[in-house]
Amino acid sequence: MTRHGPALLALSVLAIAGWTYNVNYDTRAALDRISELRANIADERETLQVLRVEWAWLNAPDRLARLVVEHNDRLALTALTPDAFGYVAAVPYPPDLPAEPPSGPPPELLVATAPDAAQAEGALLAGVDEAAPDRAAVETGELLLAEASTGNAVDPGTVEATGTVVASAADKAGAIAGAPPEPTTMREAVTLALIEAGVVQPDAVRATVMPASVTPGTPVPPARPAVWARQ
Amino acid sequence: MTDIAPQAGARGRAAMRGDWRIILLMAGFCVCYAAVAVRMGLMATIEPEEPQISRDGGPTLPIRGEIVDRDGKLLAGNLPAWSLYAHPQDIRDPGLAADELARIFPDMTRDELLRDLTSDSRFVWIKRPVTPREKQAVHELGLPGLHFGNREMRIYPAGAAMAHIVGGVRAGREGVRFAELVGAGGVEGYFDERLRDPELAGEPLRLSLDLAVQQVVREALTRGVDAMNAIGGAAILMKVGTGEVLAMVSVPDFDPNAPPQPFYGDAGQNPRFNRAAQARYELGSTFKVLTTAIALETGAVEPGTLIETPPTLRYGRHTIHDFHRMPPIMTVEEIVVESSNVGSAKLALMVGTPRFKAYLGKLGMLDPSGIELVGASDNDTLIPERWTDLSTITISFGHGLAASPMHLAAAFATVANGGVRVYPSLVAGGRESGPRVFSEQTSREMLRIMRQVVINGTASRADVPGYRVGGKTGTADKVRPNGGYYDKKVISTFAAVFPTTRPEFVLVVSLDEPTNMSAPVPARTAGWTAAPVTAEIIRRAVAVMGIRPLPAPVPGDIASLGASWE
Repeated sequence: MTRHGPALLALSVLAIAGWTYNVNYDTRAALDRISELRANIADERETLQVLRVEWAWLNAPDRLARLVVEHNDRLALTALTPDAFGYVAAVPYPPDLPAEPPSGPPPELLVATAPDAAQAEGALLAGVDEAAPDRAAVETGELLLAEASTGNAVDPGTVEATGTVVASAADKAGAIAGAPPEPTTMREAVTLALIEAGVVQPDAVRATVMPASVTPGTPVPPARPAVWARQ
Repeated sequence: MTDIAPQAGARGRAAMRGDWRIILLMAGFCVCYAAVAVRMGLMATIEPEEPQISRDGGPTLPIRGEIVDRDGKLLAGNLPAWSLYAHPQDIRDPGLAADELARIFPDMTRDELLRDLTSDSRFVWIKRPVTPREKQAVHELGLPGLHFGNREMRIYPAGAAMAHIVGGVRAGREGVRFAELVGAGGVEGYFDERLRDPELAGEPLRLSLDLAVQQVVREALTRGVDAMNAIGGAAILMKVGTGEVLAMVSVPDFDPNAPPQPFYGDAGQNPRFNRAAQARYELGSTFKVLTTAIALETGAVEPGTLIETPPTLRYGRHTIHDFHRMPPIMTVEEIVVESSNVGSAKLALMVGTPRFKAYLGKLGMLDPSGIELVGASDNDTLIPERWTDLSTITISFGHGLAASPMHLAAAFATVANGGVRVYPSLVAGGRESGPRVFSEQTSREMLRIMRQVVINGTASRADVPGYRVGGKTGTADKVRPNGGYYDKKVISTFAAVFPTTRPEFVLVVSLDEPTNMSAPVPARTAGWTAAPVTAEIIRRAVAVMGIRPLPAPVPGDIASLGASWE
């Protein structure tokens, strides 16, 4: 072994020298990488600072006020005043529901057969007219739940009286004139509102979402107030 | 090395013995390398005390501290920007360069650019600061001789809403790669040292103002100033307990991001003039509240004491008279509610000049308000050089002493705060309340009287249902610069405290030359001008602050016996 001693020694010197060289340049590369990263971090911090200032700029009160005015047709925001404060305790309970749910919808609400659709329409309108005296109160935008208790017995399953509901006068006018029946679910109510706002084309959704009340033989729940408060 | 092996036998030993120098040299190299290897191993494994790698520069500190409102919304921030300079000797075609630059920077004329670019010096500033978009445009020109340097610019995202508060900055010393920003005006000027301190640069300066409330007050005040055809107005909304100013608005105002425009006109109409803190007006009948509080405190009178109030009061050569006919005998309360000058003159004379002046000093009416704004922090009130009894008489109903609306707000806050002195402040947290000026009883009685002013008296148009607004109107003729008063120009002020049953806020609104044309007769008095504007401001501010209206007190409630608060 010792006769290879000097050779091994020389080889080991070469190996160590090579390793030293590598480590040296690896260290330099690492330090360069560090300063590159630091420069990147500084750039990112500067970008953060710019973004913070830009966020504050976009939220400038004058700019927001201008946007509110520009998009008034979609936002319809008004200045907040103390009238907006209310108490939950001041919201009235829904009117008393009948003690026993009826066995079925009252006969005047049933759509009997297709040829009698006109008659059914008349029955619907008749039902609507009966409650006409109460609509005067509704026209002014007051609470609508009182209407549900007049005349037509209400199927408890379909009525979800939650808090204050107000229907705009336009909704009622449509119902009296024999317009498409009122929506019966929240989804239908939202779709109807979107159609009226012009966001969604009515033809595309009418088939799928509008209530299928024209099918003969199916009971028609009474007109539900649109759960949508609009100015 | 291969030839060493065959000689390993006989010759090798001899060679080894003979070449001991080579062995020694190799051993020496091995030792050195071993030492280096050991050292490297130690360095790699043992945690160094001050490693170079973890010597991170830390977050890049802003050159100037930020200013935020009480909720943390940014009011003043820094943006990296550029400054444009030129080496005129490198510019090939000054005319073309001047044309292009004039197109990019519309506020510089071609001639002055040409002059800059053809000057003899080797270095000339063209424009600073320059936004990144402008920099890109100049860069794309590709003209030699134009260079950019880094700098930071100050930007005020809140815009004109906070214009008078933040003030502005101007450039101090500047070089190519930096520019010193020195505060000039407003909070930037007052806290300049603190904002430039590198240790505090990372921590924003938190003000007591609320940007939402400020905007709402500004909108309502602007609408009121327009409706009343006034030339300007000021509003201060302050918390009673701590003196924190929630909103301070002065209209007309300016855009703090735009470079300062020269203003040629009366200094009082300059948009940069802060009417809320810098102006010194004779505040008129609002002083009657202070006079009455002082009179009640000295024990000379009670709220129900009857005072003779003849139509005129002669003092030497001067005559004091009331705005309109008053009953010949009035209670102290009625003097305030109906706003009788004769009555308050008598009250002040009962107190006596030395005590009256001392109390006004305790209320802060003889000193600067101390609000943290450049231009307002050392704003003395204007007091008569020789304070005679006649001065006391005129000051008792607000003429003869000129103070800013900020002084009035602080004095009313003191009255409402149970009599403990309130110092106004723009910094979050406010300042500690000071020594006691009035007793609790005096404070309570004055609050009740102020509520009566709004229910029964001159300020009925200031009432907002559910907020128990109390206060005092003041209509003062404007002073002519040459002496004397204008005939038809007034400063109309209303100082409100609400809710009077448990005071939280003071609101002072001051309008400059208002006229209410929608009144039956065009009216300038505060009851027709400042009071309705105050009501509108209160209505909008409480909604934004989320303060619910108070319910009406139960009839027959012990606490409301003998008084009606609603």
